[in-house]
Amino acid sequence: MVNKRIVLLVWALMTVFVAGAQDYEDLLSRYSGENGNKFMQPVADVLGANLNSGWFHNAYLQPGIKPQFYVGLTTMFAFLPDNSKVFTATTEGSFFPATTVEDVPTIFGDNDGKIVEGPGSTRYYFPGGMELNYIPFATPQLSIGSLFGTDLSIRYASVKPFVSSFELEDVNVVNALQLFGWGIRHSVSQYLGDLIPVDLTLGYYRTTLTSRDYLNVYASLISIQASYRQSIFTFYGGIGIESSGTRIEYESVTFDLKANNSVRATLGACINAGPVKINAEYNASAQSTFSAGLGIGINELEKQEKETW
Amino acid sequence: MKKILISLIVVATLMMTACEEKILYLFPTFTNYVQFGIDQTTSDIYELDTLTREAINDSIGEIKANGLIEVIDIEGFYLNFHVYDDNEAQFVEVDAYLQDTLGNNLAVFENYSLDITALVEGQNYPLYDYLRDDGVLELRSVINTLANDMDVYDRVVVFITGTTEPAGVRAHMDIDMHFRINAKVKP
Repeated sequence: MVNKRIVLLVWALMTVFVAGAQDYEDLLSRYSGENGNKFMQPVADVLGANLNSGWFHNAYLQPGIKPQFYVGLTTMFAFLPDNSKVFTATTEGSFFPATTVEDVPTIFGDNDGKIVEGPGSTRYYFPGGMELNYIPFATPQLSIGSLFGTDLSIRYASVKPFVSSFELEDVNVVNALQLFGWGIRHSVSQYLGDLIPVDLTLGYYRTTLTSRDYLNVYASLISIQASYRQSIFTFYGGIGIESSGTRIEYESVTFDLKANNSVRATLGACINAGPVKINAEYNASAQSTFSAGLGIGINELEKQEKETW
Repeated sequence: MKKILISLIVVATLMMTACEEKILYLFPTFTNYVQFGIDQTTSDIYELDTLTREAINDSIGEIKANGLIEVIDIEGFYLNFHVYDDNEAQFVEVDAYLQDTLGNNLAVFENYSLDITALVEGQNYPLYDYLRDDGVLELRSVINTLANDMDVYDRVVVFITGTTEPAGVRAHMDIDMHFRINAKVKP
């Protein structure tokens, strides 16, 4: 029962953003062209950054053919820096003369918007944002290995099983929301023997988040990962190259956005309490994130170290 | 198991705090217009049109359906011209006034002139340099009053005066004065 509630909560939170789209049509339609893209750009940055976070919590993969297993819940928090809350905009529509204005709120920016005074007491309104400081995200994850130092990770979640519980049958913008992600890792350190004191792994991940044609998000990450175990702690990190994009389409409003995130550095630690894994990490990028995970891992540690535990 | 539950509660609480209810104002816009038909040979222009409460309420009503209107402003004005084939006038200069409830004429714009021979049909001609505070503020006041369901106004009279050149030839055109309204609405 607790688990079901947690899953429902997580997915309810995930859908908040998309669910709002219907109410926000007026807001979004206020913008067109370049202003609109800049207004919505942080959405692409945040979604991409969150989807590419929390994929791993160690870099050790069993050599040969040995069962290795992890199942857990990964949460991500994209913290919104001040520069993602404002942008430089130019008035549109019937307001003349066209005026360029600094510090106009993005969709995550100040609630009140910005007013530009024009000739003859005319006024142009730049819409306000949602005044948020961070955006949470969460997803279940399953990792299975190891086949010659290779494992496969899957993330999948869907609103469909909860449509009737939340009475979303008629809310088309949300009721088909679905996340699917996969990743594959291969151990590099198995070829290096004792040359380096840490485990090294190369991984590739790809995630999509879709809601019919209303929302299409993709995110991909290729990263080199390293981990070092000390007692019950595994310290890990990675350097990755990432890309992501978001397409939002609602009636006459369309945004096609590419995230600004391109390189990320990950630093984290995992507590190995027997099979229970609790990890936390910070991802530094154009849009930084904090990620925390909780799960059950089997055979995720080197054999000799496991015996000392 | 206790540790797991506590961890989950902490995570859930963190996520909940990010999702506290936020007021997201909407900023809908709509455009209304008044039309002045000119067909004369006297060179002097005087035409009026009325903006009815129903016409404005039709637009405001759509906004009201979205929530509570906090304020309404006027974003801008522009003119559209339609010149008929039998028009011989080459130049037009016009002022526009709005009549308040006391019968005062308040200038919306003044001294707008246009070379008709260079006119592009369908193009919007913005009025920003010609706008006057008195008329614009009065129009804004009228619309705000209507938005609050106050039956002060039955209609709003807008009229234009001006001249066409050369004198004595037929001036035959429609001048539409569009004004775009924006509102701040609390859903």
